[in-house]
Amino acid sequence: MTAETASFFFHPAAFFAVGAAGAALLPRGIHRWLLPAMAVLAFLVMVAISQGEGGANLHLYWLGLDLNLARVDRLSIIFAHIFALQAILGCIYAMHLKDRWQHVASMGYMGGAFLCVFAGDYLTLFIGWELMSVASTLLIWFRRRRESTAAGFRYFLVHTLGGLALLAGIMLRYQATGNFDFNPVDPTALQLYDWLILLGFAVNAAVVPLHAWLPDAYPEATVTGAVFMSAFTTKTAVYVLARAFAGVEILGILGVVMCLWGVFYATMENNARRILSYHIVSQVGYMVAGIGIGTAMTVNGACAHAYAHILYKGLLFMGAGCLLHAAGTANLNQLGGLARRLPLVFLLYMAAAVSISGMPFFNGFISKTMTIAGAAESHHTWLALGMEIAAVGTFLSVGIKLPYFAFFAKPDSEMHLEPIPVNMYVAMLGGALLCLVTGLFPNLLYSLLPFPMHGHVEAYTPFVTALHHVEFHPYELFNILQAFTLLGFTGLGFYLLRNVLTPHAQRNMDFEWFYVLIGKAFSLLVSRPAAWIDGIWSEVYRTLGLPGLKLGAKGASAFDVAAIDGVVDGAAKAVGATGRLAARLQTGDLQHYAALATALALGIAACLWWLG
Amino acid sequence: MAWDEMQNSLGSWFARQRTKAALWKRAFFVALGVLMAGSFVLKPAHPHFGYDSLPGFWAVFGLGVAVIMALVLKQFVAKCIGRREDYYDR
Repeated sequence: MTAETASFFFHPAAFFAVGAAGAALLPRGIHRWLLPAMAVLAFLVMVAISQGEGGANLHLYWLGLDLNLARVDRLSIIFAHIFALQAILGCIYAMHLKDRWQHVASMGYMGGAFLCVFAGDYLTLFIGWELMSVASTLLIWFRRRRESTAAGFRYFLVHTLGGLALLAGIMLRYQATGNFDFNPVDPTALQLYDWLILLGFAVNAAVVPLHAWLPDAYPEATVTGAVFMSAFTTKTAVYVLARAFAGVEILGILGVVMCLWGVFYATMENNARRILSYHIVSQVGYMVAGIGIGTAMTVNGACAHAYAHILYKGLLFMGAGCLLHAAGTANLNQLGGLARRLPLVFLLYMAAAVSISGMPFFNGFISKTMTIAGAAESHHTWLALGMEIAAVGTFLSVGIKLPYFAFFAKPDSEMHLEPIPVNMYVAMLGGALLCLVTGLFPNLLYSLLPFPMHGHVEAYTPFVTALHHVEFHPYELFNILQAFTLLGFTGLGFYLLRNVLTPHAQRNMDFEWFYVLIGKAFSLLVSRPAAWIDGIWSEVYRTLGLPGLKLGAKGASAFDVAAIDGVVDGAAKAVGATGRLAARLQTGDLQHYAALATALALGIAACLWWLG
Repeated sequence: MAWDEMQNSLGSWFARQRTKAALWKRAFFVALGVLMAGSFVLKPAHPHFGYDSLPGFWAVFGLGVAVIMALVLKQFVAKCIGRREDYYDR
């Protein structure tokens, strides 16, 4: 391993590997403190390197491959910075957990995210990518409910398919270019392999119509797992899109579709955590749109929004997690009247709710407005308008509907509430303060942006336009008035139609309905011919195989007498063990077969692409 | 414990405010009036859509979008795509 660097760097994934090992092996009294400590160390490294201009590279030569484990530049630093910060808050929020395997999974998950953010080549990226996919599936399964097992399985299936598209793209790209370098792509000359890689990234960014895994699975994750997942999967995808695909026009349009799609579904939704999940789709839409429009200002806006979003969305999921932890449900129709009993949860939740809604003095205001202004100033008027509509819907659902029906709406609640551990409050307080501080002092965040407003830094990509037009001042008097007016009159709309907006217990069909349909069609397609071949094979076996086997058995028994018993016994034991393993694999669950078959088929297809 | 006391007094403060709903409602409408008046005074330096330099544009926009979204989505779309909650778990 060689470090080609003048400045200091230590890979933060190492801290999370230590954390994972500690959570698995050490007693709870130690590892519950070890995990936040590791996150703090990771954050200190990020603070140290964000002082420099980046430029560090950490090369690992392995199996004849040149892997760059640490490309450190302004784009990777801003994402790693907020990842580390949120890791601290998430670890504090999870300190009361008695299930150590949840800690192991979340540590592995965050380590994977850091691997991705610093990856300079596609192989390192792919390893981090798959690590995140597996670990996050565990964060769903560890809730240990029947619904979460099923949802986790659907989640894993979608991410496996996305990962395979990414892998196919990486292999094809290697065949065409002879390297694994993870670099910006010319948006006017996208090749088939670029589209495949983009498809893999788009699955994790929850780009409509590939988004349905997110609102399907996140509400089924563990209370603390959902807090971690809300921060890392989609934002890692935003990072890789910004790295490779800035300026790809279609992302601008798809991003705004995401903004609106998420908001529309959240308006109809009843489960608090599913409302928040749909708002991840919506908020990531702002980032994807900013990347697709591809001016320096909108890419800056996307990064700033990712930073702000991780803070307030983590806090929102912490608040909804408190409801689930205390009341045992996150369904709004079963909650209500909780302001008397959980006033601090309400207050801290509201800090995040006004942040996501873009209320001045909170961090959503300084990031969302940058993307919208950038879109409007580069004459993407319709896209900017779509984002304004989504901003209204955001306040309507997350800012008013969710808290109103959870904390008010009914007389003071008498329902049984589990006590909320103090560490959960501490993490939420930290999140709320950070939302406010970054909102009040935007330069804390703006100084980390990939295209700085002051001073010259070489652009990480040649495909971003309007490089010198990045100056942005959110706190102009008109902007503040506009934001408050928009929120105030959205509130009036809610007040007039609060009876219409009352949530109902129902599941709203989204694109997962099509996924399930495709899955069923696929299994039908596979099982019918398979059954036919099986039928023929049984016939052949009965007529030819059995007599042959009998003949063979006679010969074998003759040989057995002469053979050394020990050898045969050993072989028999091995066969028996293999049989047991195979029996364990054959669970008889159709879903498992479909998944294995799909994974195998796509793996073979990927190999064929690679070879051909 | 000081922590519980703090939570409790904050909680009862919220409970008291719920009895003063009429007062909060009046304050809300006054605030909306002030914002509306403000839009006659302040103009955007760089209007994004043209119409947004008109006074009251963002008030109409916010109210209009909220009302249309609520009516179309909850009254129509939700009734078309709604299924049982355990639709995928049966």
